[in-house]
Amino acid sequence: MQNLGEAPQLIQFFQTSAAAQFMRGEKWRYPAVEILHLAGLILVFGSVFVLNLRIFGRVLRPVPVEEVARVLAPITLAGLSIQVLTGPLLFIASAARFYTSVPFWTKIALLAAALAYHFFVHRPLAFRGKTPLSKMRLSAALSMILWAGVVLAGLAIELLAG
Amino acid sequence: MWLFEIAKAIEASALGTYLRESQFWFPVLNLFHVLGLMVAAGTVVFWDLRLLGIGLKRTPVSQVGHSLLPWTWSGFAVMFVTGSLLFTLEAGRLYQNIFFRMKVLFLLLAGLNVLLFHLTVYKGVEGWDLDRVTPLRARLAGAVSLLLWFAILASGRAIGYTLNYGA
Repeated sequence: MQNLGEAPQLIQFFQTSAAAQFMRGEKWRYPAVEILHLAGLILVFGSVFVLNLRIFGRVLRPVPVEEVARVLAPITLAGLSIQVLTGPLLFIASAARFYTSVPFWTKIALLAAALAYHFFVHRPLAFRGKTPLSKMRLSAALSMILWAGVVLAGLAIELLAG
Repeated sequence: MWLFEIAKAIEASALGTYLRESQFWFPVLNLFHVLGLMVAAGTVVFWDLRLLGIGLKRTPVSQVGHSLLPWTWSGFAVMFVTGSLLFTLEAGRLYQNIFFRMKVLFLLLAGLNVLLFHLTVYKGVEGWDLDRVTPLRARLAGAVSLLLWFAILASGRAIGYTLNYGA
């Protein structure tokens, strides 16, 4: 058993929960869930990336931005639904380790910002279709920076774990 | 086995030794390998889905391909270069790793799938460019591509879990 030390009760509760014990029960379970998490990330990042490439006029030029946005939206949501299932499973499997990880909390903060920005600002602008190009591109640049930050911070969790 | 001898020689080479002994290159190469994956897989998914009649189904197939596939190949080029460099770091151990072998197999199959698709059904794309329901062989190529990309991702990640880097 890991030493939970000073971790708050909630973290200790996660770490010792049935779901956490399930995740640690076989050594392939954590990697398997992490691989699904990566696949979901590809759907989320890929769909936002293609939408933003379209906004910058780099792909699918004959297709209006709002149509690209509408076609890609369900795929972003499909990816996100994989993420909200697999992400928390990965977290509780070793909650005490993530609790003290700076890259982890950086990722969560960036993720919250990226999600809020996507659903409250970027996607509505893309859906509307009449948004001025310069404004749309500024929004796409911001969106790309936020999501790239999520991916990089996510990678840093493992790469900097030592 | 002579391939194993070659792999060990690559690992022992000046480049392999330099990359292995550096604290800097392994995480950096890994990072770019995954970023390449995000771009390659993130774009190829929409091409495969178009072949399956999902997503950009109102856009001509050839247009989706012309538009997205250069991005897929750029991402793949980054993956290939960083992947080859990561290979030199511990070629000997990778050669013996089951997941590395599976990944190479899946990559070869993915290449074969692309080749077959372009040599056969895609040659007549003018005939089905606007179809929402594409010919069976095109749908098959799309589905096989998605499965193989997932298999490449899974076996690639599994390598990281089964090799003890650095030590």
